[in-house]
Amino acid sequence: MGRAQNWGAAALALLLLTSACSNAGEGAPDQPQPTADSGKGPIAPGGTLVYGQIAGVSQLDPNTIASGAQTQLQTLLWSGLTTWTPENTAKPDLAESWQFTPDYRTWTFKLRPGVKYHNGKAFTAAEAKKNFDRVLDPAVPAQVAAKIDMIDAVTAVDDTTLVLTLDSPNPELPVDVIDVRMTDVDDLANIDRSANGTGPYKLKSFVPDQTVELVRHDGYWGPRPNLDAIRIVRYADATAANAALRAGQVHVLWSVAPDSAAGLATDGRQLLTAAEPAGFVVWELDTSAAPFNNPKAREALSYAANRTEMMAAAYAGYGVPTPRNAPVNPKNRFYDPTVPSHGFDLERAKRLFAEAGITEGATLTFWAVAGNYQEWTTIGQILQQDLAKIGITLEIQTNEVSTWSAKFYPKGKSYPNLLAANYLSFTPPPDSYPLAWFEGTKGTCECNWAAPAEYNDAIATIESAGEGPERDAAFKTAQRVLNRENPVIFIGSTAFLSVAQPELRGLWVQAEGTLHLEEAGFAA
Amino acid sequence: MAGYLLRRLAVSALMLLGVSVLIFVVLRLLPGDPTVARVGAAQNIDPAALAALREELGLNDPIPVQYWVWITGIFGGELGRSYFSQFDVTVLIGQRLGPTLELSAAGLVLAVLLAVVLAVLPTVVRSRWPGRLVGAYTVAGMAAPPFVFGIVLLAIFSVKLGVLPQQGYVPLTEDPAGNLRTLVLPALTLGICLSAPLIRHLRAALSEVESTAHVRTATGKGIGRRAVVLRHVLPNAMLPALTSLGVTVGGVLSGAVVVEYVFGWPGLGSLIVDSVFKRDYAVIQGTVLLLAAAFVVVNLAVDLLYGVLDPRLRVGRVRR
Repeated sequence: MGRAQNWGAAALALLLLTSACSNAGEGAPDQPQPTADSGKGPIAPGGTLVYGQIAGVSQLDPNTIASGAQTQLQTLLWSGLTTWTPENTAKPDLAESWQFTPDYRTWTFKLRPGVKYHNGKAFTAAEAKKNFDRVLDPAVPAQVAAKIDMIDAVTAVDDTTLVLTLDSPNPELPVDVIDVRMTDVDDLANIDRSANGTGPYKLKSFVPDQTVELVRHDGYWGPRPNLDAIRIVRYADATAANAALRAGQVHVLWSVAPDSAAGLATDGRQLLTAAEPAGFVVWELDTSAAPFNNPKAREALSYAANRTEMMAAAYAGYGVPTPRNAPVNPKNRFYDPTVPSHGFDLERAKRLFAEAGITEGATLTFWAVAGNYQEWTTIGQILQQDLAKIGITLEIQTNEVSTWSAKFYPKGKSYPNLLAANYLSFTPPPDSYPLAWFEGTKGTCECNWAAPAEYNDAIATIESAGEGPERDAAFKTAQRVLNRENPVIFIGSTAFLSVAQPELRGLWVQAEGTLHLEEAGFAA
Repeated sequence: MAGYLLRRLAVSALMLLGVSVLIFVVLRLLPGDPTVARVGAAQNIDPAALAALREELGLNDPIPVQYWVWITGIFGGELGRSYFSQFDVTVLIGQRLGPTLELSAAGLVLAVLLAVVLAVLPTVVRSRWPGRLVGAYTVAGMAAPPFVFGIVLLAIFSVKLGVLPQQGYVPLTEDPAGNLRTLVLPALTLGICLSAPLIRHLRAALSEVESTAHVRTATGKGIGRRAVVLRHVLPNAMLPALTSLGVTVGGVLSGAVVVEYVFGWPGLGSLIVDSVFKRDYAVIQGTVLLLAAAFVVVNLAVDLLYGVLDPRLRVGRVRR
């Protein structure tokens, strides 16, 4: 190599180094920073909002919701007794107010009078009871049932008074009932044609997995919705969806890939995500089968995960690494920073793997989804490279989504030697749900983990005790046990990213990524 | 003729029965559980609820029993019900059939027009270049999957030039102009892909007919090249090309699958793809059976059309 070439190579290296350094800092200047809600300012009434996503809506039963693609409909078509605030607390919705006994076992909800379903039928406490009874029916695959399974009896005292009697105390009941959506149970046979609810918008048309068209419900009991209509369009893939956004054919795009987000949020478009994300990128393990039935193997895996690099590479910086390995976001008030951090330590991982019988030459399988969620595969590839350094082979297998899920869903499946990449959405503490998911008997974690009594006791305290030091301590205990036992490896905390056109107002993103459109409109 | 028709109908019925068994068994051999897909692989679903759903959908019955329930339902006019939405399979097909027929018809018309023009052009213009260009077009059209053309057309006309929408469907009854705008790119994609094999067959037939005595006689009489091709060569070459057209027409519905998916066209193709991902057995079975039936019927019609176009091939007369 000649001198000139040497100088050229040195200059290029310097340029690359400079470039790398300038991008290494947090929030590089050319990166749009996500916000939790869309632009402030007056909203003009009217207009049709086109909402795009690359997953289709398959059905319209709000209480047997099938996928995240359906969640934005939850607040548009239907109402609950309570609803979310951006601060992750419950506020009145169909219930104007509520009272509870000091033992948190009897809750009396006072319902709004005069509310009607979209079909004109009156919504009363008896109607609310029908919905609760249906959700609590073991034969109905209602996901929200896990949050309210402490309800023992539902009583409609009169048209506007509903009493929920619990078999164990629950100070967070107003949060836990949010997802019980009120629909005309007597007309369930028609729900995909009528979507009968009491929400601000009503159904105009529905083509499964293609389009859902909503129009303003003029009989809505609350403030008049801003938009005339909302059209939910499903795009075949991210390329088509992104191009539609750029071309202005879609106003809001939900769940954009992190590596596309910055490029899409240009020309004044708004990048939105949750203020305190409660979604977690995880590896699920079968803790009842070798090798991950050995806690040391799980701990080794946690130390082998270079979370910082993984979240930076796969989530373009729109996520927070979770080295304390618990489903509590660092921004949450119950997050315990004193729990030991599982910082990336390959030597320690190697030693722990060896103690668990996973020695050089061993092979593990990384189980991801083909086509979607390339982020998971990226994370797997980083782990693959790191494990190769200590002589362990990680075989990455990507499968179409049904094959992927059938391997380890539901709880009770055996999947030895496997790391199932997944994304879990929770509600943030103080709701007990993210932590109770692991609990020994009632929890439905696919990790098949036999939680120790210490953990189950902590969950029982969280679920039954009101605000106070006892409950705070129980949250810390639960996080500490998860950190020690590692039934699931938590890589990072993040929420779905959405991009909205500059003229959109009134949107906001809930902790687990749901985009709220009920107050959306176009700038005046 | 009647006997021939009855025999063909019987064979067609047996073929459809075979298809029904095949698709039914193959689906159940696939990994994946429709009930897990139905509840969204949620992290908080109770296994007992999944078991109840399996029972409700009849998935716990032995496969022969499930098949019997399905096939007898078809004879009663029932194709079953989606495991996901509440819609009957017939309703879902009804929602999607119109757009698919529209796209298929437009694609087929374009394919035939392209095929006739591009196959005849090199025969009329006696220069090497048109033949080579059409040859390259044919190879590309047959070798490249439809989505490649779809994406290229999208990139040019939608993303780069911004003159056509990339996705969506506007019903003809709502907005004819909007319908046409959304139809252009998917129809063109389908037309290009379908035209390639048609051109190949038509060019071969044209070449064969061109060497026959009556064409040489016509040329010898001093009739112009264009007139010879259009009046004497093309009509006689159409019959062999009809076989290719029959296969094309029969397969056009399934050929539209990928095109529909690329362009977000709400037809049967995207219905099948989505249903496969979700393991919505009832929808897949019903839709595939419908496509198979369409294929069988169209090919039967083409066979019968031979006799109409060429009296020498009428089955009854030959047999006498």
